[in-house]
Amino acid sequence: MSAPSTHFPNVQKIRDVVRNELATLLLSFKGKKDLVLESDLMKPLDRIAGASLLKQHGVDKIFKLDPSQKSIQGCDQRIYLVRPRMRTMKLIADHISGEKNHGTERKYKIIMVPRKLHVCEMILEHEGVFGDVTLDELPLDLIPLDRDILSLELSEFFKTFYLENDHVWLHTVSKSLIGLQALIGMIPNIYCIGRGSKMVYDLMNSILGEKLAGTDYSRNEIGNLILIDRDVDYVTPLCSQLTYEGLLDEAFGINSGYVEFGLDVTGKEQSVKLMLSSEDEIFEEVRNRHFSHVFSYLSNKAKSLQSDFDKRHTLKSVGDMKNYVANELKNLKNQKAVLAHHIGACEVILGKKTKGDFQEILQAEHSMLEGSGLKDNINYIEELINKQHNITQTLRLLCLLSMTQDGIPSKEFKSLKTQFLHSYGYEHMLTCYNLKRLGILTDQEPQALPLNKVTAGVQAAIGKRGSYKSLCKRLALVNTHEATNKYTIGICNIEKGI
Amino acid sequence: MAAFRKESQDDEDDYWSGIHKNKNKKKFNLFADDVSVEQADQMAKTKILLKANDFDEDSDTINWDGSSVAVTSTSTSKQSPTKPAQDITSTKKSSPSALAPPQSPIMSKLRTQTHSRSQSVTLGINPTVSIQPATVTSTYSRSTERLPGSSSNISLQEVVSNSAPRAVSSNDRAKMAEEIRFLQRSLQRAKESGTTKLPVEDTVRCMITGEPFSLEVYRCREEKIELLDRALNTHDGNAIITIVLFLQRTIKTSIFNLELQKRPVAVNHYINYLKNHYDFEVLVDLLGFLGRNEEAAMFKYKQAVSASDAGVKIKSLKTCHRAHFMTDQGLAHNTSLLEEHISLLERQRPIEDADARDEQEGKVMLFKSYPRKSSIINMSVITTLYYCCFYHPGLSENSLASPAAIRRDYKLTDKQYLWIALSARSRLKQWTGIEELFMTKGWFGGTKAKAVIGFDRVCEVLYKTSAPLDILSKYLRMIDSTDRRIALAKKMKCHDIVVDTYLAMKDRAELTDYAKKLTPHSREAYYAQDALKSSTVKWKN
Repeated sequence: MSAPSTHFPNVQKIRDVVRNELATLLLSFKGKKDLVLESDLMKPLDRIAGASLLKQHGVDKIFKLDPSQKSIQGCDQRIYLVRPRMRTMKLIADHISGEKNHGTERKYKIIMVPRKLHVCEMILEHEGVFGDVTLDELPLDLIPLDRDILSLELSEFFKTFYLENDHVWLHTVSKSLIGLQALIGMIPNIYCIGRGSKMVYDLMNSILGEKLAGTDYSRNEIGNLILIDRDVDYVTPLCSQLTYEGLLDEAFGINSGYVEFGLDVTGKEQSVKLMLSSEDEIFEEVRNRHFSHVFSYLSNKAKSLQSDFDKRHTLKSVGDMKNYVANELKNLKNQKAVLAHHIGACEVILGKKTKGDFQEILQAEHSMLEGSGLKDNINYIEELINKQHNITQTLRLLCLLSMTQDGIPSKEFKSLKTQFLHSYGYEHMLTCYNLKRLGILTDQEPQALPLNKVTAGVQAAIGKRGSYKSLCKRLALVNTHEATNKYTIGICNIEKGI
Repeated sequence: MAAFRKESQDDEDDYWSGIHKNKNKKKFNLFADDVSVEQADQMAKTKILLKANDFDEDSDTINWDGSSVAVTSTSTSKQSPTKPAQDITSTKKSSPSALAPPQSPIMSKLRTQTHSRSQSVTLGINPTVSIQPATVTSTYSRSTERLPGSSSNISLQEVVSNSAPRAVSSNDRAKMAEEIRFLQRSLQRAKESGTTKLPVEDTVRCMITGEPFSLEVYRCREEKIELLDRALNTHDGNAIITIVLFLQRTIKTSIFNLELQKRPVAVNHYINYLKNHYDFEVLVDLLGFLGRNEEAAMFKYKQAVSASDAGVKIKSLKTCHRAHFMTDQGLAHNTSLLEEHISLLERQRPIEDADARDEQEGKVMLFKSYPRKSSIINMSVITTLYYCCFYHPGLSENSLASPAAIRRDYKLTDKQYLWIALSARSRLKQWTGIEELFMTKGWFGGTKAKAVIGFDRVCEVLYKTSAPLDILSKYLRMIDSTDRRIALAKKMKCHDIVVDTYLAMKDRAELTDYAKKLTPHSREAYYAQDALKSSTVKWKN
C-alpha cells in the first residue's frame, strides 16, 4: 500500500544500478547476440530495461524460453537470462548439446537472476556442457514498482520457504536489503517478526561480516526497517478484497505493477497494458478506497474532465487556442483514456460481484472474524461446496474458518474435507495436505505425533500459530459495531463516452 | 597400436614440457601476482578430466618448495601441462607445421573460463587447491578483473614454448626427478604445518559471499559435520544444499542418513533437491527411513494422479494404496478417500466407453439434443453424479451409471444429492420430475414436500435455469420465512406471490406501496388492486 509522503528516498537509483549491470553483461559478448528470456522474468525486466536498451547493446532477437522447444534458431552468440532452477538448466543443457551434435558453433552465456546456485552449476556439469557456457549473475532483486514500493517479484518464495522449508531465497532477500542500504545508507534500527525475518537479519549480518563493525549510520535515509513473516498473519489475505487495487488484482491480476485489460474492459480486440502507480493520478486517488466509493469519484472525475474539454468552445483568441492545444489537450486526452479503462474495469468487477454470492460471502467472513455463528458458517461453506461454487472462493472461506477457529472441529473437518473432494476432485487431497502443512487448514484433533516424526515445518506451524481468537480479543482487531460492508451500486449513471 | 604408442609418447612429452613450463611460469608468477585463484580452480577442474595422469600429482608440488609462493602460481602452472598440451598433441599429429592456429581456440577457452567464478566443489583428488594460505582469500575478488589479460598472456607463452620440439636428455630427467622428490617433501611439511586449509568458518563465509572455495580438503567426519552445522547457521539454502550434497558424495549412506536425521532443516533441503532432481526412488526411501510416512504417501499419490491414462492411473493408485496408505493408521481418512478415488475411476471407464459409443451411433436422443461436452473420466464424484442424473436418470441401482448407486456408494449426503439432482433436472427442463425429489413419506402414509437445502435455494436454482413462472411460484410458496419469500419473489418478479404474501400478513401499507410500483393496467396490477379491495381481510394497518 502506498503511503502519502513528501520526502522519500529516491529508490529509482536501484534501477539504474541493475540496468548498468545488465548492459555490462550484454556487452561481454561483442557484436550481435540473441537473448533467451524466461517468461516470469519478462515483466520484472520490463521495469528495469526496455527493449530499446537491449537493442542498443547488440541484442538481435529475443526469444521466450519454452520448455517444449528442443532447440532455438538464431545467431552465433546466445545469452540466456533465467532464474536459477534445475529444470531450466537441464533444458538449456539439452539445447546446447543438441546444437553441438548438429555441428552448430555458438557461444553461450547463462545469466542467472539473481544469483548462481550450486545445484544449477552441478546440472550443467553433469550434462557435460559446463565448458561450453560462461556463467554470470544479474543481481536483479528489488524492483521499484512505485516511488514507495519495492518488490522482489519472487512469487515462488512462499512455496519454497514456508511449504518446502528450503532457505535458498533468504539469501536473495538479505542481499537485496544490503544493496538497498548501499544506496541509501545503513538502516540503524531493524525489527524482526517471525522466524524467517530473523534468519534474513542473521544472514545479512553474516554477509556483511566485519564490514559491519565500522558502519556509518550518519547518512541513512531510512530510519527503521521492519521485517515481517507472511505466516504471521494468514487471516488478512484470506479475506475478500475490498479496495479498488485489491479487486483489480483479484479480477485481472497485477503483475510487476502492470495490469492487462482484455476485451471485456476495453471493448477492443487488442488487450491494453496499463501501468499502475502513483504517476497515474486517477488511480492514485482511488487505489486504496473502498470499492463502493470508487464510482462516485470516477463519475465526478468524468464530469470535471468533460468540463475541461468543453473549455475549448469558450476559447476567445487564437493565442488561447494555441495554449490549450499545446498544454492541456494532450494531458486531457491521456486522462480520458485512462479513466475509460478504470471505469471499464469497475464495470467488470461489479458484474462479477453482483452475480456471485458476494454479499453472503462477506457476511460469512465477517461472522468468522467475530468468532460467531460457527454452525451457520459451516453450513454455508457446505452449501458452497455442494453447489460446486468457485473453488478458490470456497477454499478461502474454509481456510478462514480454520484460521479463526484455530482448526475446524474434527468431525466437521472430516465431513467438509470429504465433501470438498467429492465436489472438486479427489486430487485435492494434495491441496488439503499442503494447507495442513502450512497450518492454514487444520482440524482440532490434538497433534499427538511422536517427536521424531514431526517435521520441522509442522513443528514450526504448531509452535508459531498464536490463537487468533485470543489475539483478536486482546488487540480488539475486529470492530464489531461496524456496519456490514455494503455495495451501493451507482455505476449506471457514469457516462462512458466522455 | 602404433597410434597408441605415439600418443603415450606425446603424453610424456607433455609432462616434461609441463615441468619446463612450470619453471618459466614460476618466475612469471613470482613477479606478477595478477593471476587469481578462481582461475586456479578452473584449471584444477580441467585437470580432473585428465586425472588418470598420475604425474600431475607430482607437478602439483612444484611451487611448494617451502617458500611463500601464492596459490595462484601453483594452479596456473598446473593448468599449463594439461589443457593446452591436449590440443597441441592433436595438431602435432596431423601437421607439425601448422602449430600457430591452435592458439586462438585455447585462448578463447581460457578467457571464457576465467569469467565464470565457479565454485569448484568437485575437485576430486586434488591437493593443490587445498593448500590455500588463509591470507589469499581477501585478494580473490580484486584479482578477478585483471584475469582475462593475464590468462591469455600465459596461454600464449605456453603454447609457444610447447610448440618448440625438443628432446629430453636423461640428465634432465634425473634432475627433474630429484626436484620432484624435494618438492614432495616440502609439500608434506607444508601440510603438517596446519596452515594448508581454510578454517571451516571461512569456507562457509566464502560460500555465502560468492567467493570461490573448496570442500575437498575436509576429509574427516568431524570437519564435514562442522561444515554442515555452520552452513545451517547461515540460513543460506545454497550453502546448505552444497554441503549436504558434498556429504552425500563423500560419506557412506548410513552415516549420512544418521547425521541428516538429526538436522531437520538439512533434511528438508535434501528432500527438495531430490524432488527437483527427479530422484524419486531415493526420496521415497529417505522419507520412509525418516518415518515421514504421510509425506511419502502423498508424494506417491501425487505421482500416481499425474498419469494421463486412466488405466495406468488406476494401477499406480492401487500400488500406492497398498504400499503407503493401508499400513498407516494415521492416514485412515485419506485411505478411504483414496479407495473412493479408485472406485470412481473404475466406474467412469465403462460408462464413458458405452456413452461414447451411443453418442457416435446417434441412437440416443439425449446425446443428440445435448451433446456431451467432454469425457467423464477424471471428473469429480459430484460432476459424475450430475452427468448421470442428466443422461441416465432412470437407471436402477444395480447399474453403474445409476444416480442412486452413486449416491449409495460414495455415501453422499441428502443435500449433496438434492443440489445436483435438482440442477440436472431443471437443466433438462423436466419440471414435473422435480416434484418427486421433495416427496417424503408423512407420518400416516401421506406425502409431504420437504427440501433439505431449503425451498429458497430450490427457487434460486430454478430461477437460474429459467423455470416457467408457475413452477417458480409453486416452490416460492413453500418457503417458510415470509421475509425471504417476499425478497426472492420480488427479485424473480413473481408479483402474485408478493401480493399473496402481503395479504396473508395482512400488511396493507406494504401492499399499497408495492401495488404502486407495478405497471398500471397490467394483470398483476389488477391482481394487487383486487387484493387491496378484499373485504374479508382484517388489515393490521
